Amino acid sequence: MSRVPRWTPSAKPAMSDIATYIELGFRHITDLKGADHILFLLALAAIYRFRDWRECVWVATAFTVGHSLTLGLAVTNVLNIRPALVEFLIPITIVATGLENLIARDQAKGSGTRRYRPVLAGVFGLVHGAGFANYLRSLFVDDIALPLFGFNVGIELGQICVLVLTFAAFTAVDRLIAAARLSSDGRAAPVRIRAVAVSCVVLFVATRWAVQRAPW
Amino acid sequence: MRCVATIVACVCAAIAVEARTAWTHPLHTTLTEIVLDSADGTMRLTIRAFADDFSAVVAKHAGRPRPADYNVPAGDIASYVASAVSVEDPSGKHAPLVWVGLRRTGDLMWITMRVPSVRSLRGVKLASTLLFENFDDQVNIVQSTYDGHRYSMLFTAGDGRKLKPIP
Repeated sequence: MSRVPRWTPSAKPAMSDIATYIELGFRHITDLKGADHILFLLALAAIYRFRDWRECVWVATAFTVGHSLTLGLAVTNVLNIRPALVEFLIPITIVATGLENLIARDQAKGSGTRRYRPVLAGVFGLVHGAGFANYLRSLFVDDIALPLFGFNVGIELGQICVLVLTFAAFTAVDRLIAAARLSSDGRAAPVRIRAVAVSCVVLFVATRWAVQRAPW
Repeated sequence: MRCVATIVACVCAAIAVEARTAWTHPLHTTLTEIVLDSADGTMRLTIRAFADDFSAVVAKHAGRPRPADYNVPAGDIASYVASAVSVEDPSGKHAPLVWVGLRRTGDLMWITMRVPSVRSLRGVKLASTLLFENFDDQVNIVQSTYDGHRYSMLFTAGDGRKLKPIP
């Protein structure tokens, strides 16, 4: 027991070191088996058309800023949130985003933007950041700055990839809906039908997760 | 009719997504640090692993029931690590690992092993399959420190038992 040394990092990190943590963050966000972050991104992007990509990037960036902030605070022990509570709150943020998609309709009608969405995404990002903070804090107890930075960069890159694929899929779905004349009555645009469909799927899945993770 | 079909399709998609995904999003990771021991100049590995998952896989490897308190015998840990971490010296020969010790801090286990036959990290190859049998999203980080620099590499389930040179 007594011969186990304590690790005291003093060496300069090489590029491979940064790349390792970028890859770790990228893999984490794009892992289909832990789809909570992907589901949240789907919910965020559901109301946008390809031409709204700038607004969507703003929203995704606000989400990144939010989770980076909590991640930083949590791994440095400034903020300490019970993991069970965080695991419960993550699907709640997804449910809230799905509901917001269904309730607010201005984006689909093209009559304006939802300027509060970046704020909403930023606040929800605070919750998601606390989700991976517990793992990073436990593992990198001594030299957290580089893993934290690399992990966040990887997550941001992963988000961009997920959003690009999402918009490609959404564009294809919109065309299919238009071709099937689902909106021929003029009351619902293809983007609105798609937004409602995606939001319903997201709501169903996230609600079940929230019930399963309820900490009481 | 189309509306009903859309709703049915949405519900089916939701069930499919829900059924295929885990309900939490853990980070399945270990961190292995490699240095040359300042005392005797031999290669030393310190593995950090989450105690719950690691004790479970060690117990499974030893054919014992999963321990409720995460306490597993040192011999079982050494045997598991020796089976999951392979080291090859610059001449291509397998280099055996020797047990040094174990400590616990919070959720983490710190396992230290020594490779007495390796006294320089140049040309050394390594493979880490720790916990691959439990999680197919397992990622093992290996950090080596020498000549004042720290280098890192990742081992994923897709790598199998492939040996990689220490950068």
